[in-house]
Amino acid sequence: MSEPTDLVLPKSLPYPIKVTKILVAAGDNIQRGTPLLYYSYKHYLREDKTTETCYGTWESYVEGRVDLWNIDLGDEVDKDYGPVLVVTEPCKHGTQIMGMCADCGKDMTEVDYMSIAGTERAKIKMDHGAEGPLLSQEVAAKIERENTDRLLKNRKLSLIVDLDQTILHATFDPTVGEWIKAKDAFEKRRSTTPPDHDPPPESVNWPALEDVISFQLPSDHGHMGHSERYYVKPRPGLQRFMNNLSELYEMHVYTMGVRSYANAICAALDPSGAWFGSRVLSRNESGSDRVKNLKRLFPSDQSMVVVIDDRADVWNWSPNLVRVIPFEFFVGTGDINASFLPKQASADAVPPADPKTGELPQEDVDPESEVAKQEEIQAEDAAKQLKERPLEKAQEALVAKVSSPSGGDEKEHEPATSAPIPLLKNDDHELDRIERILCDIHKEFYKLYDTRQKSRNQSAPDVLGVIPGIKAKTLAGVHLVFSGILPLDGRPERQPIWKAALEFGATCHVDINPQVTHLVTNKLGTVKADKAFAQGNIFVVNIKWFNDSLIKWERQPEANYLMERKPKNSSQDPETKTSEPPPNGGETKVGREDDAAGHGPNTQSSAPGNENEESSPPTPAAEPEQNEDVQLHIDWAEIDKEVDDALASDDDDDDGDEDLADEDEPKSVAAEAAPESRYMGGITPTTRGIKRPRSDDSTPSTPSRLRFSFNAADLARDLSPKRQKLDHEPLSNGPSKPSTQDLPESQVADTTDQTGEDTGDDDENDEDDDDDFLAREMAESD
Amino acid sequence: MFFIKELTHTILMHPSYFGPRMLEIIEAKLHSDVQGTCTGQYGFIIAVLEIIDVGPGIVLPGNGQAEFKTRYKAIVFKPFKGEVLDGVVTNVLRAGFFVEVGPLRCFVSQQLVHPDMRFDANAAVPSFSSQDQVIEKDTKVRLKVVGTRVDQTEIFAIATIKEDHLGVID
Repeated sequence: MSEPTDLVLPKSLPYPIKVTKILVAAGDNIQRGTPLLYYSYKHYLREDKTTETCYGTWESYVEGRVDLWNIDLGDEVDKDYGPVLVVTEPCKHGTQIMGMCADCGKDMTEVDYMSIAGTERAKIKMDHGAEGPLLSQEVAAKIERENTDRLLKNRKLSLIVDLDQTILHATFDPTVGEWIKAKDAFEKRRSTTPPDHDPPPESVNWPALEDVISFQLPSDHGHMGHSERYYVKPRPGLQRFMNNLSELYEMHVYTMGVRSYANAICAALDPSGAWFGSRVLSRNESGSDRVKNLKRLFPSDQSMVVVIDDRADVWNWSPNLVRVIPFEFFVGTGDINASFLPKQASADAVPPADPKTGELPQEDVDPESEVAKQEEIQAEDAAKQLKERPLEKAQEALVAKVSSPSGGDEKEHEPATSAPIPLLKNDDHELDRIERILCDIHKEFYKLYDTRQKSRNQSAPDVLGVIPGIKAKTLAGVHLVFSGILPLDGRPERQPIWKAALEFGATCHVDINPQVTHLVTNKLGTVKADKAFAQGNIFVVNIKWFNDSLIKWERQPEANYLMERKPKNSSQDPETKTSEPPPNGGETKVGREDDAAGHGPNTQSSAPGNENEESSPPTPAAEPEQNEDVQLHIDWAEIDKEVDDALASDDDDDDGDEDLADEDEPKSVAAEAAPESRYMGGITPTTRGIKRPRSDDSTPSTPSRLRFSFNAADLARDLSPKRQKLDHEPLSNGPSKPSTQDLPESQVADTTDQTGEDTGDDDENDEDDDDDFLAREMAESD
Repeated sequence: MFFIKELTHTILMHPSYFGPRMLEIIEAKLHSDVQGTCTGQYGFIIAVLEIIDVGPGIVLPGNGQAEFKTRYKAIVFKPFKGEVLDGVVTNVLRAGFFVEVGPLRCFVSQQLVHPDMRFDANAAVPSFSSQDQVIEKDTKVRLKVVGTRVDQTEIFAIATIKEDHLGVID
């Protein structure tokens, strides 16, 4: 019918084998099970220590007409010989449905003694719906080729669009419904009677609620009735975004929501089907609850596919992905369909060291019970939202904040309602940015395509060749030095952040040299920072600058992220503290890093909820003061601790904390923190190596200690306050637990004192262990 | 293919139905029980034509229900390989399309569509189209069964339109 099939010998044969007889000749018709050849092999008898020659038969696992033998009588064949026989099959069973070949109607589920079952031949599911047939690689590739040809002809690319938090935000919070109802009622009243009453305080949110869609889904859990009501806010500018992009892209929906949800959304946003048509893929058909895979829709050719999604991890940091900053309209809700996904604990902005360019994860293993459990979790989440009403609370908090007299502020006298701040805002411009990027990709792709057409180069370009080019423009010409960010153990080139910098076009340097234009750091006072200031023409910028530039694919103006140089010999205490290298680095460093991440988590306040609304878009300008504040507190506590430690443990080196110290600048530590430097110098590499993880574990009561070196997770934290919250919730003992900052100073000192002693003890034991070990070793070598 | 087939069905009657209208009730119950069902052996039971014999109605010891072994004549529909059928397209995919022939669901692979007809994803509704013909949702097609999958309670068929006189019908 189509191309002939190559038959290979099964892997299970006792190689090497020798062909002793060929049973069929070219032109013969064979059936499944027809003997093709006899072979002999040597079998080693362990008892007799001799070998004997055994014989076997190889039978055909396909039917068809023999075209060609690639081996001859007497040939020795090894495992990786490749195709030995070419057969033309009447049907290759490349499309299968319900266990039947869709081309010839043959039953594929028949199982016989041969290891290769018919169903093995077609395993790819490439249609959006659940009922489509399974295809073989060959058929899928053919269908895809037709698709790419058509797209090229129409000068389009494929765009996979995520729903939740990318182009819309959905919530169950009934407050939204009440607000909408109140709004409608008010407008109705106003249309009939003159406006004699003031709108209620939440009316500030009304303008933003204008285009919120609400719907209920039929319940799929057996019990009658409907699900909770969904409220869906399309991202501002969605209509324009979609209309513009549907000219350039063929769009697909790929969501972790259920089918009915996806359908309801599409029906509401795209009633004519002009954007997505039937190209909607939901969790029901995804094949996996946890990851999205390009190969699900484009099994063999992803060269014309671009993805927009707010999460990179579910796509396994696919290079086709254009990340979108999550759309969080209903404050405090998050992604209602993300409960299936792993909680975002790890990096986001930077891909892991080696992203697997993997196969389609067919999660057949996923047992029903697991799914049921997760669905339960989702339902619980929904119930929680219904009960807790995050929006109402947030709005109340907002009103309370505005109306509360804020110490000597002139606003005090104004009535709170005169200028209330709306909780729900229409101030998201992310889609404009994404549209620009997508248009660029499209333009570049077809520019490349046209030049290749002209030069008679038949190969079509790949978006993977285009996206990196656009990315690399972001920081082109920038020469970076990282300070206090890269861990010292390990090669800098291997660090994700280093790789990310290269990916975005920057040139990285290990140390300051005349070429360097930017020093990226999260604190001042490092040797490199000092050098940079000395050199003068270098931007010393917060790590936030780097992160923001990477997220937005746009070099951010450095002015907003500049680190102010602190006078070194200031008389003020806090100033001294910050410019001085930390006496015990672990604590302070982490504190600073968190600051750099923008929403300092536990050190600043352990109640993440508060933090969100108070400083939700953190203004870089406001940060330095905050930093100092935090550091001031921590440093005091730490210094107390140090003193106590020094008193508690006699001459033992309680260096657990120095291990965590910024190893970027041992010199400055040595120079300025004299008492500690003694210990630093005394530490042998071995003990340091052993102790690092230990000292980490030994103080679980200080959450910020858990992450002591910069890693990709810190970058991720920067990206969304929502995730960051998830990230940190387990760490804080309770939502209302006061932060260390809020405690009276003496108390802080007490708690840290405690932990300090713990550390000391631990180290002591550790040391003993080491000594024993050494002694033993020496004894042995003797 | 349609057949008139004599079949039996066992009906259990609760004693509360015993009475003058019992036969009517049995008849109604038989209709609702069997019409529209599918057995792998006989195919889809389309309609009950007549009840030949209601049966003696044996009361079961212990619970008082009566068991009627009813014999009846019904029209059954069973698809066969090589049979030509008319149906309505329900869903069009890149790899082919689904057709409903009454109660029977069929799949026509794109390989079994004439090569002139290409999948057209540009259209608002996905379709296979050639110069003069379009196959999209709700198009009526004539097809030939290539194979059937017969399960206990379901029959599924593979069909082709890649032969003379098959394809779109008006």
